[in-house]
Amino acid sequence: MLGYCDADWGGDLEDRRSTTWFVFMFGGGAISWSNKRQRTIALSTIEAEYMANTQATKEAIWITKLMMDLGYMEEKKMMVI
Amino acid sequence: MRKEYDSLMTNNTWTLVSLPADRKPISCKWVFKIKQGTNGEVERYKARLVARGFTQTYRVDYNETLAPVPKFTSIHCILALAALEDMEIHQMDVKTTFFNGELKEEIYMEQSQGFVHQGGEHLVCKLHKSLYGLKQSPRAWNQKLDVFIKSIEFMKSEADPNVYVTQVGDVKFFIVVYVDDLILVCNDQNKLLQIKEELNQKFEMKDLKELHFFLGMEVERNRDERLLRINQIKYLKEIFKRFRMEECKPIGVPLDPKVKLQNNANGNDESKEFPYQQAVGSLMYAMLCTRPDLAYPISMLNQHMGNPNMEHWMAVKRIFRYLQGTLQMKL
Repeated sequence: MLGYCDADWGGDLEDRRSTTWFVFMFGGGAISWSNKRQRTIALSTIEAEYMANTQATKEAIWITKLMMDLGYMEEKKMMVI
Repeated sequence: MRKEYDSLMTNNTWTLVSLPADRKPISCKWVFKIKQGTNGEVERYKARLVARGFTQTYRVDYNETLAPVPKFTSIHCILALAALEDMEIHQMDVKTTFFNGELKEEIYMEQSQGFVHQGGEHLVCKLHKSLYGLKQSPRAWNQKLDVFIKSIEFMKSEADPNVYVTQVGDVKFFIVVYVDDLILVCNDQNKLLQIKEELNQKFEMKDLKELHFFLGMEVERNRDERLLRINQIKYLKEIFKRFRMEECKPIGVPLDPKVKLQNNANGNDESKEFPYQQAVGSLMYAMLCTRPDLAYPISMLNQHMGNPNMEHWMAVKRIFRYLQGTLQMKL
């Protein structure tokens, strides 16, 4: 299972908030995706990316848990790029 | 009407009692529907007794009303697994969902029009089973189903409370519950039949066999190649019709890169002139089900939900035009 995440720093010209974006792929298909404005104003690209990573990791933990409930995955088989 | 009333009686939905002094009964109503056949001819007349839920009082007639629904991610995950492992995916729905739920609260309802008990005009119905229209009906049903599925040796998933799992040796079985729709996923035909039979004995169910259509999503499979695709062509065509966009010309990109959506600065609310919220909401559902490509444009539109102007509406129309061009896209 692979997850991809990214952020655009200060994408909103009016209030300079960044946007988080992530998608998770499994078995050749996308199973979860999101595109959300960050609630806090990031002061650097790294900060924005870091917040995106947190969001994606939260989702990753949830999906891992679901897959474990379904009996399909051991921990640590998820990768977020 | 007679039939509906009789089925309510055999189901032991209520008993007639005299009303306690401190309680007010809720009212009820008969709702009539004409079921039409495919050519528009009258097939049968249907009557349904509904409770008027809005006459209920919080903490007196109802406490908790929340009934959980599964995340789309769980549905996607399970469909993906089923495709990879070449499992059976079947669907069932429950015929008289809400009558199956048992009520925890004491609820008194007026006797239904036309069926007042002779000589007992002052009596009211004390409800035992939930009725359509009661605020807690969906929850009561969900809890009843939950108890039953657990009793046939399924474990509830901790991550999503609408997913149930059981595994005996090599046989794996998942159930996803969406109110009265059930998706059954299993890699063993016999086990599948057995569980279907058990569900059928407990509730009145309709077996829809293999999953083709669920919540506006169409499912196609190619089992030789272990492929499964979902699309929403039908749903999208419907919303095109609803917002009168079926004739629009297709376009390649969902947002105009030259236009930067601004907040509606002059503050005059133009939203009465076009169904902005409804349109964005419909697109949002498509996005959540099958269209990750819409996630970005929709999040842009969402920010202006409270105060849209003409410019935002043009952007919505552009998404419709983009969809027109990419209708056949599948996940």
